[in-house]
Parts: sequence; structure tokens; C-alpha cells
Amino acid sequence: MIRYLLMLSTAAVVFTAAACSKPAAAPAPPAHPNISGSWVRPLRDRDVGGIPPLNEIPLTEWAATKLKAERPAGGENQDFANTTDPSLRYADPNGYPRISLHPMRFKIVQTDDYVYQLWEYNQNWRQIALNVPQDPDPAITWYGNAVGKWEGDTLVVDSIGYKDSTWLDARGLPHTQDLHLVERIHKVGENLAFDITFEDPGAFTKPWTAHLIYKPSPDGSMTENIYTISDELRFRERFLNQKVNIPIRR
Amino acid sequence: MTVSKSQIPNPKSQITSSGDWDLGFAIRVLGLALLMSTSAFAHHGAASIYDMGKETTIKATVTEFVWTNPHVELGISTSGGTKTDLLLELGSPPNIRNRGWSSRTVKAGDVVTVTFHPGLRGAKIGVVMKLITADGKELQA
Repeated sequence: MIRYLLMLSTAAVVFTAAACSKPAAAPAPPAHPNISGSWVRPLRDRDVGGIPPLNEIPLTEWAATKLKAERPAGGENQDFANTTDPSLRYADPNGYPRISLHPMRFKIVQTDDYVYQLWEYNQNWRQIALNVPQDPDPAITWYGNAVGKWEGDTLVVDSIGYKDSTWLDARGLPHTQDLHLVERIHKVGENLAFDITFEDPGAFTKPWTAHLIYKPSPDGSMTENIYTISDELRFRERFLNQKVNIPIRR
Repeated sequence: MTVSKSQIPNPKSQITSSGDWDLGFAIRVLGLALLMSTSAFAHHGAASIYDMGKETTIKATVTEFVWTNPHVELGISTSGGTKTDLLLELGSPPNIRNRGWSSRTVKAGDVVTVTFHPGLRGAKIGVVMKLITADGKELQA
């Protein structure tokens, strides 16, 4: 009985203390901006920045020669039928940052440890690991090894380890496996800016920077838009009468 | 088969006349397009395979409608048959879905009016700019 009374009184004290405690303090403001959501760089918008004109990019002799030999599918000297664009010829992943030049939207998902970019085109994605050191010898991948940290209102992303077969843009801008990108991602009003500095001694005589602006896009479910080598070759067979020498889905 | 042909100096123009379709793929190129189709940009440079300065409008029978990447495909017969005389591409599935299309918008046997940039050098292909369905709904591609 005594034990029972003691338990009862203890419960009453706890209840009274809880009821009389001060209201909880307002939650602390977030340590950094929220950049999650859907973003798009509309094709025809003129205020969304871009990769600079080719004559403003400090190409090495190797890069200039390689660029000249490429046959892009679009633009001034386009040759779709005979293009050397790896994302069409082989249906390769676009790689980075070319995937972010695609006019389809992408979504950013933020967690405490990672920032994810989810591109609608081909359902490609990359992860930016937060507050960890860069791996000096990462695996070579389509989307590189990216680490980031917040500096005030800017997410600074360092990435290396890029497969050298990708083009940096649809014009055929080349790079080597030593490509090093430093991105500063920050809000500008309601938009999201990516200032990307390209370093690659094999391809560029000095670092250069591109400024890309993304606009908010209605959020919600992402659309599936997966494109395969069968899709590409089937299109070429039907529309260009090109011979296809491997089995494809028709 | 009776088809409609018209000069379309302005994308908003409507078909104004009709006549007999000249088979043998002598497509009557009838006007200048003012705007390039957005549908082709995502995949390739349309200017290297289509005559983006020409615009053709015909009434034809759908032979196939394939909802696929990289571009949705529309086959049409200019003689009312089931054999594809012209193979036309539209935008990618998600892009044209945003413009009101679905995989059921048209089906084989439908008679539609379609406006497109024809293939270069007489190729029996084209890139669609707009289409009017059998029930009169106009859709941009």
C-alpha cells in the first residue's frame, strides 16, 4: 500500500511539473537554406545562364582538336545522322553537368547527410555527401564523386572522378578524367543558381566558370522518361534508314 | 483520298482549301514555318533531317501511333489504307503529355489533320507541329 501511494505521489509531481513548465522555445532557424523542390531551366528562357560560348573557354590544344572532330546532333554544325554524341550514339548517360542542361526538370532532396539531385531525364541521379572529405582516389563514374558543405547560405560542392567519355555539353565540349568541378549553389530570389568552376589541366589552360539559373517548377510526382540504346537505334532504323547490326527491341 | 493542303505562313492559320493528294510522295510544300517545333530539340537537331523552313498540312489516316522514346511515332496513310506512307515524329512522351497528349489520343484508323515539317531530300518522314484529331481537338506536338 505504501509503495502504491509513493508511486501515485510521484506521478502527481511529474504531472504537475509538466503542466506548469514554460512553453517550449521556438525552434531554432535552419542552419542553412532549404533548396529542396523541383527546378527547371526552360529551353527558351534567356535569363537562365549557360555554358559560355566555345571561343570564351580556354581550351588546350588537345581539347580544341577533339572538339573540332566531334559531330554534334544539334547547333550550328549539326549532323544528327552521323553524330558522335555519346549520349545518342551509345545512349550513354549524359554525365555531369550536361544532365543539368537538359530542359527537363530535376528535384533536390535534402537530408542531414546528403543532398540528392534527381533528374527526370533518364531517371539519373547523383548524391552529394555532406561534411565529409573528398576521396583522393574515387571510383570513376558517370556522375563523379561529390562532397559538399554549407558555407552560410551557399552549398559548396567539390566533385572529381568523372568518366572522360561524356561531353560537358551538347556541343561536344570535352574533358579528361582529371576534371574537377567546384559548384556554389545558392538561392537568388526564388531561383536557384549554380556557379560551376571547371578545372581540368588536360582540357583547359585555366579554370573557367559557368553560371546556370534554375527556376521553380511545380513539384509532385516525377515523370518516367527512360531512353535506351534500343530506342535510339530503332528511331534511326525507322526514320533514317540506318542499318542496325545488334538485336534491339522493335 | 481527299486531303487538305494550304499555305500556312502563320502557325495560327487554318486549313483553307482542299484537293487531291498527289501520291508518289510529291508532298506539296506550301509555306514557311515561322517557328521551329520544340519537340525535336530534346533529342536531336531537327534541321539536319527535316526541312524546318517548310510546313505541310494533310488529312490522312493513322496507321500507327507508338508511345515511345526518344519520340512518339505517328504513321499515316495518305490513301486511306493501313500501310504507312509517312512516318512522323512528335515530342518525347512526357513533353507531349504536358501538351495534352496521351497514348490514346489517336489510334490506327483515325482520320486526322496533321501539320509537319517534311523530311529533307524527299525522305518520307516529318516532325509534327500540330494535329487535329478526328473529333476536332487541336494539339501541339
